[in-house]
This record gives sequence, C-alpha cells and structure tokens, in this order.
Amino acid sequence: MNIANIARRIGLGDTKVFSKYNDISEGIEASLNLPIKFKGIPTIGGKLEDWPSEQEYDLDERIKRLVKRRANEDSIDKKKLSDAERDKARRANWRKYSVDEIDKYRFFHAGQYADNQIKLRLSYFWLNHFTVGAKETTPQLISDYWERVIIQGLDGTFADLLYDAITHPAMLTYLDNIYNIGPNSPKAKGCGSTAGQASCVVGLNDNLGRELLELHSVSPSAGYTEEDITDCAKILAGWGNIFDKNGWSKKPSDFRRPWDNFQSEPGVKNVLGQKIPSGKEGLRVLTDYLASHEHTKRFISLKILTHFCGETYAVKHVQKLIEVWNRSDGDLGQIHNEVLHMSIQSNEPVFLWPTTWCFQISRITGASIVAGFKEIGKDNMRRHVVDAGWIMSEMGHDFWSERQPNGFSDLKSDWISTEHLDRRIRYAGLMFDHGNPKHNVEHIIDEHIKSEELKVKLSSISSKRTRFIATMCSPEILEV
Amino acid sequence: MLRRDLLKAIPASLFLTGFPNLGITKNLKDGRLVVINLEGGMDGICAVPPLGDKSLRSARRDLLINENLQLNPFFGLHPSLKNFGTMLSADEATIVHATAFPYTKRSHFEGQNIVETGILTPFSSKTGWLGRAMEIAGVGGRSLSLDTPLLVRGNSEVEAYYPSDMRGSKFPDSDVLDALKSMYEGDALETAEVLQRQINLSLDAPRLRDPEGLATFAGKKMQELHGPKVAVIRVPQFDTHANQGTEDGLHSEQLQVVDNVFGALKSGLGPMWASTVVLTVTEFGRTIAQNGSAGTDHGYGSACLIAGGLISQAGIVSDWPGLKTSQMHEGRDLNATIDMRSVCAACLEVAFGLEHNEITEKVFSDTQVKRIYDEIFS
Repeated sequence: MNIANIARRIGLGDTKVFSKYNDISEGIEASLNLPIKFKGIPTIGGKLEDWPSEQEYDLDERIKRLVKRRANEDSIDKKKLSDAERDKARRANWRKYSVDEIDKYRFFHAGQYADNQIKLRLSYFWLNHFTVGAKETTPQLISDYWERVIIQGLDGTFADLLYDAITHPAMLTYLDNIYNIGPNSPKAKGCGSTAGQASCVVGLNDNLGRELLELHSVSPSAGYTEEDITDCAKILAGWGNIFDKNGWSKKPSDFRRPWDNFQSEPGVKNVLGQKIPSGKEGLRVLTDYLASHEHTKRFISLKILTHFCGETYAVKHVQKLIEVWNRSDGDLGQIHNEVLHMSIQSNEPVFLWPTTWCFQISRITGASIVAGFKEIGKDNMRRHVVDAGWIMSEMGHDFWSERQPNGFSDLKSDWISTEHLDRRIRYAGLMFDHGNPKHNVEHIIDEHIKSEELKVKLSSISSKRTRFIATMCSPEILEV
Repeated sequence: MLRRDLLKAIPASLFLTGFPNLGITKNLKDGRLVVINLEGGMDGICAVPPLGDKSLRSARRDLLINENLQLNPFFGLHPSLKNFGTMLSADEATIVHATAFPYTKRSHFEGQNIVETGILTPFSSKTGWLGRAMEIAGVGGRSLSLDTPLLVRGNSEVEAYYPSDMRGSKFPDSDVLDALKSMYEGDALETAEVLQRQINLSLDAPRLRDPEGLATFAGKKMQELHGPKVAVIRVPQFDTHANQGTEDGLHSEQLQVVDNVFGALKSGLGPMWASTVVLTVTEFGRTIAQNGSAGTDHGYGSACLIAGGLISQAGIVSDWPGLKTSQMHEGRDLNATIDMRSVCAACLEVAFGLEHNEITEKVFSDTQVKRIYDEIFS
C-alpha cells in the first residue's frame, strides 16, 4: 500500500502530512495526540484561514438561542397575522436563532481543510456509532455533541465516551429520554390524583435504555431480557429534564449533564445481573459495567474493524483488537492506534462513505464547490450547489438528517444503487465544472491508482471532463 | 407537549421495481404489487382500534381517538384513514388484525431485517422476500430510490429512483458510464448498466420527493405496458415513544401520510388499480398500555392494511386474541395470531399467480407458513 492509499484509508487523502514524520507509525501516533484545528475559506476560491470564532457556538449559547427562538415563536403565534405573514415571521425567527446551517459548513470545511484528517475520520465513525438524528431541538445541538463529546472523547476511554454520549442533551432528546420519568419518582408521587393530566404524565420511556444495550454497548448477542431494558430505563429516568415542557422556564444548573432527582426512580436496579444503585451515580455505574462487558468489546471491535479494515478481515482478526482493549482498559487512543495499523495491513478494500469521498476528492484535487464562511446564507450564491448541508443531504449522508439510531451502514452492498452512482457522477461533474481543480488528473491517477490496467484505461480517456469524473468514480477511489 | 418543528419535511423513499423480463415465458397473472413499509413500528391499535374490547379504554386513556369510523360493532378505523375507509366501503380494501412477522424481541433493526428478508433469523439473508418472489415470477427487472431496499434485493437487475436535486449538475453522460462500465465488476457494473439505460428513458420524473408525490408517480409508471410491476414505498417515523397523541398527534400524522399514499396510488394507477394489491408491513406493533410520556413502546402484533382491485370483498381478517393481561403477549403486547408471512404469501399469490407451496418453499424457506388466501381474497 503506497502512502496515497494509506492517507485515504485511514484519513482524508492528505499525503503531505505524513512527510513531517519518519514513518507512518509516527504520523499516526502524533495525529492521535494532536487536536483538530478547524479551518475554512472565507469565500469560494479564497485563501485558507482559521475558522472564525464568531461562527462557533458553545452549548450555553445554543440553548439560549433555542429558548429565544421558542419564546419568539409563541409571541408570533399570539399576533394577529395572516397565514402567509405568520409563516414568514416564523421562518425569519427560525433562521435568526438556528445555528445548524453554519455548523454544517464548519463540518464540511473541516472535512476539506482542517488539520488532523485521522481524528476526523475516527470522529465520523463514532458520531455514527452513537447516532443522533434530527428530532425536535437536536439540530441545534449536534455540532456541540460532535465536537465536545465525540472528538474530545477520542482522547479518553470508551467508558468515558459512552457516558458522555448518553448524557448529552442531543442524545437525551433524540431517544426520548427527556420524557422518561420514574413511576415512583418524587414527581410521580406528587401527582397524586392529578396523575394522567397533561402536566402530570409520568412513567418510563424505554427508548434510550433499549438502544443503550442494543446499539451502543453489549448488542443483542448478550441475551438481555425485557426486564434488563426496563431497569436501564429506570436508571435513566431523571436524565434529560432540560426544558420545562410548558415554557422552558425552568433552567437546570448544568445543561452539560442535565439530571433532575425529582424525576428519578428510587431503588436498586439490576441489569444483566449487575446491581445498580439509585441516584445520579447509578448511570455511571451502569455505563462503566457495560463498557467493560465482553460482549461490548467484541461487538464494537468488530464494528470498527469492519469500518476501517473490511468485513472479512474484521471477523478474522477481531481477537487481536479485543486484546488491546483488555490491555489498555478500553483506552481509545491505543485502540485506534491498533485499528489504523490493522487497516494498513488488511488488503481488503474498504468502501468510503459519500461525504468521506467528497472530502477526499476535494483534498486530492484541490477543487471545492462549497461556499465560504462569509457567504453562508447569502442570496447571491451561484446556480450550482454550494450549500454544504444540501450536498450532504443529496448524497444521502447527512449527519443532521432524520434517521434511525442504527445510523449509516458500513457495508458496501447498502450503498450500491443507481441513484447513489448518479449522485457521485453529478458531484464529480460539479467539481470539474465549477470547483476549479488545482492538481493535474494525470498526477492523481499516478499517485492513487494501483492497478496498471486501470491506470491505462483512465489515461486513455480523451475528454478531460470524462477522465476527471471517471477517475473520481473509479473503483480505487470509491473504495480503497 | 413539545410542538413540532416548523420546517420539517416528511422524508420517504420510493422504489419501483419488477419490470417484465421478456426472456421468461411463464404464464402468470399480470398483477401489480405495492408494499408500503411503515418503519418504526406502526400502532395497529391506533389505526384499527378494537373499540369493543373493554380493556382498551383503561390502557390508553391519553391516546384514545374519539372520532373513529365504525367498521363493525367491534372494530373502528382511525379518522385519518379516509381514503382507505372509502376503499373499504367499495370492497377494494381489507384489514388483517393481530398479525406480525413471528419475531418477539422488539428490536427495530432485527425486526426490520426480518420484515424485508422474510427469514426469521435476523441478518442471515442478503436478499428480500419480494426480490426472491419476483425472480421466481419472472418479473425480475428494475427498481427505481436512493438506496436499493433489502426487500427487493435478490432479483437480477435493480434500479433505484429518487430524483436528484443537485443544482447545476448534469445527468451522467454515456461516455462517463462507458468508462465506468469498463472498470466496474459485479453489482457496481450492473448498476452502471442500468443507469445508462435510464438515460434514454423519459425524464418526466417529478422533483417532489414526498410520499404522496412518489406514490402518484409510482402508480403512473405501473400503469404503462412495460412499466414496473412492483413498487416499495417507505414511510418512516412511526416510532412514537413520546407524544403519540390523539387526533392531531404524531401517530395520526403518520397515518395521514399512509392514507395519502393509498389515495395517490389509486389515482396514479388508473385502470390498472383493478389488477393491483397494496399492503402495509411494519416490524412490530406497540405496547397496549401507554408509557410515561403519552407514547407507546415496542410491542408485537399490529394491523395490516390491504387495498386494491384484486380484493373482492372488504373485511377484517382476525382471530382476536383479546387485551386482558392474561391474553396479551408477555402480559403487555397485542398477540399475533396471524403470521404476516401468510399475508405476504396471499398477496404474492394474487398478484403473480404463484402457487402457495412454491412461495413457502422458495420465498420464505418455511413450508409451515399457512395459506390464508381464501380468507383475504375470496
């Protein structure tokens, strides 16, 4: 495997990054220890800069804007307006306080320009493993979740990441835990005879508890029962009371870990034979137990190896990764280091997700059709696609979309279809027509294509445009 | 209750498939089959409430719908299902209640996989029951979506349809596809070949991607002589753990989408409606009792809605298991007394003229699946 292939197999296609180090191993290790530096271009064709701080939002700011957006919505609804005027006012209000459009640009620019392609690639895997899709307020929170939980979590242990992902307000909202209230909680007790009325609907909601076991940790192979799921839901009751349902007037002290004892279920719980104490600490005991469970290690080792090394290789070599997991006590840095080395050793082609491919072809050709950060939301955009969110959605690979909690598939067979091929060809065409590629296609073919036969085929195409598209959509660029 | 997002669109996908394969001369019926896949777990108790069951009211006090259409002394129909109700009164629709694929572990992903493969061990098959049936019936051909649903995998050629909206982009040209074909193998090669043939097809596709628009388009295409014989429409977001609501709640909105799809299919199909059967599938029903957030959790038995001109008499096919705790599955879910595979088999029989024994053996790999064709279609 040459350096160009390695760069696309474990990163986003930058080869020059590795030239700073003596060998690939050193490059991997250094990357895993360095932060991601967010960068972008101010306008199409402009020079690379650090991402502007005024287009970054912390969680408090995001929540403040949500509250404001909601309050304005209420006051718009109270005004006497025609339907058209109301729609217009609501849309303007929505735009003013929502930040997800900017977030998607930051995400896309990071894919094309940010330092530390290796950590970015790893973050996409984990963002997908702990999927949060669009639901209610989550679009406003997904970037915070990605950057503060997933990316920062790459430096810690799996146990930390599991706990942080489960307790983030985006996850608590996406999987309905904000509605999960202990049937014997102080709140339920206080309801008395008013139980069942709108302000006093109490009881368990097992959505997050179920997916915590099925998708996030042990998987169905552990053979858990419906009682285990119910007890997970009981442990989770009390997590997620971010907003008061009626007016968002109640503000818990900490949005980062929104816990409300008032809604929690008293008593010791039991999950897969493990006793879990009551109170806020119960969840951490549970997630630590799940994180170190044999079925979790196997399930997630298989999944990450499938993603980076291929399905067949994963099945064959999973034990090797489990051993690293055991040795390091679930340290993600060490696990990732092993996965990336295994990825280079495996000869099995790995199919690239659509946006990963978009970022790679931008990095290897120098082309881009996405608007700069100073152009976001401007009406003077050109006719072809320049909207980052729109591209991701058209490619069927948008982390802000409504989707199921099992996330995007790691299997090539789920991505082969005429429509997916159509989108790749269209996108490559746009990159050629409007993206202003800086690097010579001949050079790209030489650097990235291994098969001599394929090289000859591509080089013999006479039309420049056809050669560009065919190269970007060739088997060795779609998968690596 | 939290309100719904203002700008939210309803996602859906359409798959048209089963173009006649002219090389096969088997003399089979020329029916059309549409499967509407209700992802997330459709609540059969909400869609077709057993109003005559005394246990219903106490279990669902915040979720009961008041203005159901009365079907018979025991069952009602959700008020969102107006088109479907009209079809019932015209003897063009029927309902199977307390049915499910025999899978009781309540995981969306295992359940959906079984709904699509028709094989009871999750993730054990790479092909779908519909794809295999189409292959046997000789309607193996194309499918039109962003991805290719597992449900129709297993026939020789599949084509997806889901209109692109990339501003300024150009339709793939033949030179590019020639080049790609010379490099691809296997599924990728077939995909490129099908895409190339598509270039020459009419480009009258609608830009709309809502379920109703896609259903109308599907109906129109299926009306054509050499048009597709099978369509799959996916309607997601039935997983109403919270705020399932009543008349104007989330589940009612979803049922409205389903009803619009039924209506759009009928109008799109025109005269071909007479030779069509449409059925809904879902991975499981929902718990009988409401949960703590005025929603319902994952259950077992649900209802299946069937419509189309191939139905001769409206009815409710059900062996009602009852809603008392002792009658429910594990004391919490509607039991399934009819195997959904029997329902699918009956629809394959009526649309493609396949024999029941061939379906159970080659499509579902389980000869124990009972024949209930007469109960549904006679």
